[in-house]
Amino acid sequence: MSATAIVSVEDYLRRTEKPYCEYLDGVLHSRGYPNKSHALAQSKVIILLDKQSVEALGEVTVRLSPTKYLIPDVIAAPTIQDPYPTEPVLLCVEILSPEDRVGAMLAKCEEYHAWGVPFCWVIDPEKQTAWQYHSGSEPERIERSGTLLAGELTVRLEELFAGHRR
Amino acid sequence: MSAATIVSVEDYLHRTEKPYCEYLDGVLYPKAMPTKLHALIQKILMRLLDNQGVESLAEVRVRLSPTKYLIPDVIAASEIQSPYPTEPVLLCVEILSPEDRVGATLAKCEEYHAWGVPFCWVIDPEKQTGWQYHAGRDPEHIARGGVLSAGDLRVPLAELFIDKT
Repeated sequence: MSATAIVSVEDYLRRTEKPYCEYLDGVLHSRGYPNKSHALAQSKVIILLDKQSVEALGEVTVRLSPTKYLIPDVIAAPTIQDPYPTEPVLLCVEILSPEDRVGAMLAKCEEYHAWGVPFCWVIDPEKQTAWQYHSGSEPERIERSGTLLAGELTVRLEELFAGHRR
Repeated sequence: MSAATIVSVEDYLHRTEKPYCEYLDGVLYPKAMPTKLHALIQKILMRLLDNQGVESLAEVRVRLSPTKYLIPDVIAASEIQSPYPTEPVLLCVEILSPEDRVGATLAKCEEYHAWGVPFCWVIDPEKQTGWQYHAGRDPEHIARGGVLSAGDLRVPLAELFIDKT
């Protein structure tokens, strides 16, 4: 993430321009520009989660504190608060863009854990692998033949990446 | 890391107070307060690295850019620049303190990679495990009893935690 401007929380919440930005203590941080493989993985993970009796949505702002707003690529919960969650959701998913790095995304998962989110996934569409990182555990790399878990939720990577070209 | 104050690069470089701080764009970030276990692992690690023909040192500031200075727990290179490296070293090692988190520390490794460091390790003294994270690769978890590698350098975790097993 790179800093782009300084704004008040009120201005941030009224902002509609793209790219969507995250907000940390007055500073806007632009997110990686989405590409096709990112969008494909995002839509597929939402479809696979929706089949499991949770609500799954992409690009929803979450408020971790009055001065910290992040935008996970996908969130899932039995019901997602409207207009955006101010209480922890069940699962936060980050999907790597080419310019993203795994460590930085795992660090972002630690922000979600500190907020109270029990389950986080980081998906790498290029390598067709993933990481599951649950609160209180260590990050665990999941190979393409493996399955991502989050409580009772499961997503098989072969199903997630079916039809994706490497 | 939590922000503590704002200073100029010049003031940062003249600063001698502890705890040591890292410096990012005018902001000081204090390092975690060191513990006996942290210091013990640091000492054994340097001995194991020194035996392999590299120079290894602890708590040396490294300059990643004119406004970014970090302090790896241990660095190793065939020769370490004095007074502090401004060119990438061979290996940066971070040893987790109880309040540190793995993801944030792996993200720090990515800062070292971007600077040009090819090899990074993260050591967890409590779990007696480690991570090796080399530039261009994914982080790799090294289980208890495994071996950390960095090019020709090798450190078996069993030797690192010999006094703790």
